[in-house]
Amino acid sequence: MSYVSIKSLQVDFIQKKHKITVLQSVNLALAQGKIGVIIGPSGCGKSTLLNVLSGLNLDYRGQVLIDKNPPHRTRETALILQDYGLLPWKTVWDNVCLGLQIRKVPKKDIITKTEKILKRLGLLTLAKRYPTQLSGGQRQRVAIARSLVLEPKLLLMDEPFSSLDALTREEMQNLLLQIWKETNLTILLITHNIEEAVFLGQKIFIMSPCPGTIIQEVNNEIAGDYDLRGKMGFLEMCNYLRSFFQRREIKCNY
Amino acid sequence: MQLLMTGFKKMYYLLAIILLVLIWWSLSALLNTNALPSPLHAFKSFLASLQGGLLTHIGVSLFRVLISLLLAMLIGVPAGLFLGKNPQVDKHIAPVIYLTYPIPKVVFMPILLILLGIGNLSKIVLITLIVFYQILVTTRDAAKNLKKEYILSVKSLGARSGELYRHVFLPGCLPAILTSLRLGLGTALAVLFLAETYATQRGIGYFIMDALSRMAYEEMFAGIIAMGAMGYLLYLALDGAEKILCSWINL
Repeated sequence: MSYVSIKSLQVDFIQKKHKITVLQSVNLALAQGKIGVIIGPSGCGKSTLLNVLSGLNLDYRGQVLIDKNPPHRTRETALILQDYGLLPWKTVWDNVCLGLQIRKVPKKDIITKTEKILKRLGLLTLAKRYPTQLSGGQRQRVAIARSLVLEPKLLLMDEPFSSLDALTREEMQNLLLQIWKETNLTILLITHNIEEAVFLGQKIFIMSPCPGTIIQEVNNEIAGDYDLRGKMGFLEMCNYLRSFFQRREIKCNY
Repeated sequence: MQLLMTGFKKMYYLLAIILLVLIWWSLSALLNTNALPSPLHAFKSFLASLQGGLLTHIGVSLFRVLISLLLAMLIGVPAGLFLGKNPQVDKHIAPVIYLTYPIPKVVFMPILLILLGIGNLSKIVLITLIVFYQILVTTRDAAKNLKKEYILSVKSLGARSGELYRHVFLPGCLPAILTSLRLGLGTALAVLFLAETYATQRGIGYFIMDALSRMAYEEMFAGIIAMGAMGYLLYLALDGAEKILCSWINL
């Protein structure tokens, strides 16, 4: 049984009184403790899919289950957005412990857990700073800390490293891999970046747009190795994905 | 560096005060009329009036303006946040706001005097009504324009409506709310003056108009100084509140 299971998912939006089907016949299965990566062109509904999985969008048809429960009934999912979603009026500490406060965790436990996660991600010295005083990489670490402090079983990430420079991006990819190895989290990540998909994704789901659907599932056994980037297998898999996108003619009717 | 900047700021304030007093003094000398006494005479009269009852008038005016601002804020902020958060409701309420917002509420002063009497209540209601609109519209627009990612990210942490107001909408709109209060303060003082010139014997507005009717111009200027000082101190208080509550803005 898959930890994340999507069957025949369809999502429609009403725009200017017209119905637009954003996602259609989406099927996806991801086992517990695996990293899945969704890759596809802009506008193919990747973020909509993540909103459904995180329980933010309840208006869908089809079956979506996380650990056998509908997304809005589980509290074991954490979501990291593209722009991190950190609140500029809260310090690093307050941003990180926000989820615990909302879940009414006792104050003593909030302090212990927040301190532990900040220490682990090397953020303790920045605890009193505000997000605007941090670099892109540091903000991303805070966003990860805010999710991990909730001790989720499923981590959803919407293009989390897209606004980072190349070096910081690789550093954050390594950090994510390290966290995954330590925690055995199930991770589902959206990206535009082929190299990122191959480096992280044990299962790569390729999406096409209009309406968005998964057209190919690739088992990527080589993922999960810190030294993967320089290896031949990595380059071959990147080339395979690149040529896959180039071969397909993607048309959009809206 | 910060100390140096504070020093410069204080110096600029001092220079501004000197410049204003110089302009006043020049005009007074140029016009040579009792209606515009020199700053020195006006300040002497101000200090004398403070011992002769002006303080009571300041207290009454301060009470009226503070209560009005507080009431306007207590009604305007929650209403603005609610409308900004719920565009479907705002869609129905917005026409009522747009139709009534441009009406100069000060025209309701006579009717408020009739309905609520000549005491504090009519004056407070009038000022509240005027400032409320400014706060409502500014807060609503600020809530409407909050970045969607803030709301989504906090929702994804399990937040419900109340927590969204507490952690996202209120703190996110606080700078706009304080700006609207600052703008509202200017309007409130102007309306306060007008409201205190009718059917009352207390307040700085009354003090100024009473001095005018007795052609006691130096005393009249004492009242003007009191009104100006009150406005400036309230403005400073709001500035201080912004520095404390919105310290994240100017980092």
